[in-house]
Amino acid sequence: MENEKKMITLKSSDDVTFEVEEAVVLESQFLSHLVQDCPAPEHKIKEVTGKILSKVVEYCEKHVVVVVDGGDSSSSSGDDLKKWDDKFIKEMDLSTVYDLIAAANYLNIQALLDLMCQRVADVITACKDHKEIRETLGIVSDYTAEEEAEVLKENEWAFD
Amino acid sequence: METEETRRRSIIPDEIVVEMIARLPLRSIARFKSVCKQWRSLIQESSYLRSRFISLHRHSSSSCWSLLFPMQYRSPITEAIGFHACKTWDLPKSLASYLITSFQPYPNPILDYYYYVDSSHGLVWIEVFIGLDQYKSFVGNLFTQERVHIPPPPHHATFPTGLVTRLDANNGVVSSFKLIRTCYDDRKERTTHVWRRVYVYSSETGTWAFKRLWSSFPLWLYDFNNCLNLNGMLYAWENRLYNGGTAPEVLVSHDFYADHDQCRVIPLPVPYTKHGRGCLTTSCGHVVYVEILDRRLKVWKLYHNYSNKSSKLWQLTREEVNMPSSLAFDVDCFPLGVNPFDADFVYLWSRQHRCVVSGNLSTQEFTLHKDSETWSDGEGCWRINTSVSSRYMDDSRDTPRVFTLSQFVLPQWMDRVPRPPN
Repeated sequence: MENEKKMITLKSSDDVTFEVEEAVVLESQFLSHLVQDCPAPEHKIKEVTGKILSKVVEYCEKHVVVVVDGGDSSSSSGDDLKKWDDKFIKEMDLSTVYDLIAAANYLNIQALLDLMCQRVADVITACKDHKEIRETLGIVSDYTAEEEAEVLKENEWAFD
Repeated sequence: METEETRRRSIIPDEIVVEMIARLPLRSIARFKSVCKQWRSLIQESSYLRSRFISLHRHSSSSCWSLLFPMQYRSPITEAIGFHACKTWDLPKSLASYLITSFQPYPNPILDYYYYVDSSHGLVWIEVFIGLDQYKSFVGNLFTQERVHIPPPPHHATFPTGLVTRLDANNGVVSSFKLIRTCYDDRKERTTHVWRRVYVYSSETGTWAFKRLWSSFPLWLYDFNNCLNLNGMLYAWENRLYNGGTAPEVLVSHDFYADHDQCRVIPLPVPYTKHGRGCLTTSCGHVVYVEILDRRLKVWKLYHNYSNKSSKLWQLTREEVNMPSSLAFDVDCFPLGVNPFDADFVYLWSRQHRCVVSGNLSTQEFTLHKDSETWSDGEGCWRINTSVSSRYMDDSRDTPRVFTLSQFVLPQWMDRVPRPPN
């Protein structure tokens, strides 16, 4: 299969460009439609910054390669991919995680969205209470002390 | 840059919060209501979060459930078998314990007797006795902590019979509920075509209405059998009246969302024998009848389109199962119920061994649970209450031929209780 690979250029909101194979772009539902509907060589993605788009590209490239190459030895490559995913998310700070969730949501890359959201879900599950969740996710509470006590009382069953 | 980052982080867009928390069990999600107002309003109001959660948890084969003995005067809530800590809810305790604690502080009665009457799609009907012949009725959701106080019916001599619900066809949210109380003085009419005289409370009107439920065959109504609810209908096991005596038993049902007052009389799947021991229950959206006769166990489900008289009414879920002779099951083995999500798992009471027996019909394995047991497997956490069941089973001298226990099954989301108009 020595087909010439079709290349596509993606441009971030801050004008960073990435040249990727078409197969990589097809990981994103949003981009597949875009590429099909508009056969221009370059596509500007206004909603995603260069920093985040580079992560998206990195993820999609890795996942495309494994799926194409790993047809017959899927279990070991599946394990490798999982290890790669773990490393990929471990190195990321939470604000990047959010931005990547937003990007994956916008570009409609289900596997990336699942991976990122599961990461945050794991982080918040590990928090012992709402205060720790706020601290971890950098959320400022807008409850008054009375309101907070009321909500806690209402959901007492969930804290046992 | 720093402040921009902080500002952006303090408000996480709704769709991202939804994606993050929809992957967690409901118990965790309930805890997150206390994080901030945005999270609480999403959890309580967002239909998108609800549908996202259900879609992400669709592979969890089951939800938490509990099989409860019918209420008895001055006896506690009695759970025979329960399943909790499922992936959808992740509850650390059995459902029966939530029933008790959730209604405990309300309404601070003199004599605190709490009766579980019935449940449907996560709504629970609880009666709190506050004195001789005085009670308060509540319909609530244990996990949203909402309770609707139901006014007393116009007629005093009634007893609580069943709770039915109607779901929104689009999203499966409970859109309305009805409570049914039966009049005691039915006994005067016990050999007529009137199945029951009932008062029906509707959450749509907030009022009680009287209804006389007619049967196409005369029924022998010696006692008020327990009812089972499914899809807005109540089902009960009754005897037909024949030549002045009792004739083969039948299943009687009425649809409380239909605008008529006719009952349907459904014949048994097998000829009546007084030695057969059965139970009436539901599983996977079907009415299910289990019978043990001569050491053979059979499970039938009732077809949905049973209105067509020429068609078959009941279908055997699998070939009959021979009970192991080593366990010496005989007429003293009573089916109690089946797993609401898999009719291949049956639960029995063995009077000889005085314990709950669980049976897997696909492997034909039966296990005696000599003592109360709690254990976990890949699906969740199981609880079998042999000790409290024995209290119930030993007490009932007049053991019915067909048992009807109440199934309390949690729905897929913490939906609000429909509010009657004020």
